[in-house]
Amino acid sequence: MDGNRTARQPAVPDEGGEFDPKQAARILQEATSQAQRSFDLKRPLIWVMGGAATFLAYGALWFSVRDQHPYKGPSLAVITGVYVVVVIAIALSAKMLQRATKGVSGPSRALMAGEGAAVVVAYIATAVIQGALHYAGASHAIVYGVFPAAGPLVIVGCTVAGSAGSRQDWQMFGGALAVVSVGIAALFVSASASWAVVGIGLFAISLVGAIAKAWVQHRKLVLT
Amino acid sequence: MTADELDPLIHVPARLRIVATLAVLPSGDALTFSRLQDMIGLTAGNLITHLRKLEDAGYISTEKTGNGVASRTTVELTRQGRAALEAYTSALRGLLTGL
Repeated sequence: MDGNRTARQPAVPDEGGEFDPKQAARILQEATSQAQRSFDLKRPLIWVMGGAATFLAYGALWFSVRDQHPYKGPSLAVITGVYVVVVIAIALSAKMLQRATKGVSGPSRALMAGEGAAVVVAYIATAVIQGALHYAGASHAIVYGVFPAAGPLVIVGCTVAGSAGSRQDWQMFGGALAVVSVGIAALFVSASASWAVVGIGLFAISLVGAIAKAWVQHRKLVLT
Repeated sequence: MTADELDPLIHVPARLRIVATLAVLPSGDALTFSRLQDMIGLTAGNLITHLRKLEDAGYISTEKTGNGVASRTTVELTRQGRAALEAYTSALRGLLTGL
């Protein structure tokens, strides 16, 4: 260890030689940008791609029920297709998570695991409530329309908002509240329209999220 | 303001990259030596030299776990290191706006 150097001694030539502030700014921006891309799971492009996949999935659900009178629910083929999209999305997310967090340890990893568990429990709770509604004799429009479209957004959105608020992640908190708002809006439309409201709402939130993320990243990097 | 006012411990290309990379992680999180090396692109010897200087100044902390081939070293930017990078960035911004 170089114990005789103090923090304010000049850098020796073999450590970088002439190094002007413009070069320093460029290196700082490059290193920060590279690290953000490497560690960050919420990249703007991922927001947009996730939003587009969600829009297509909910669009397919809406398309399969749009002319039903009385309402019966989405067809088995469409539900199977949506589940395939969900499984692919989960597999891709797991791969990205593994790549981004490789070699990283600390409190954020434990927090991420806890949040993941909370979201899974919230989804299970949604399925249980849907089953209870069916058992109680609620109409097809509620059990296979309004609730499965809007319920997950309200329940999972509240779970994520609570978690984000507790760690003062206000960007995520705002996004979660927006998701809850879309869910609430979908509760007050017809069963078939609820799928469309959710698809359009989540796509809009993804786009706004992507723009906000890109702006925040740009703002952090701009030095001049 | 002049370039001499920039913290000389950070104002070195390799160390600036190291500190900027570690600063992206949330406070309290650490990164393994091997991944940091992959990201910075330095030889192990060079990286160790720069890390020692940063550790001596209290800007980073390192922790080694395990023995032999199973050993793993992690590197974390300290609170002092984050404050130093913020001060450096602020000074750099001041210099660039004055140019």
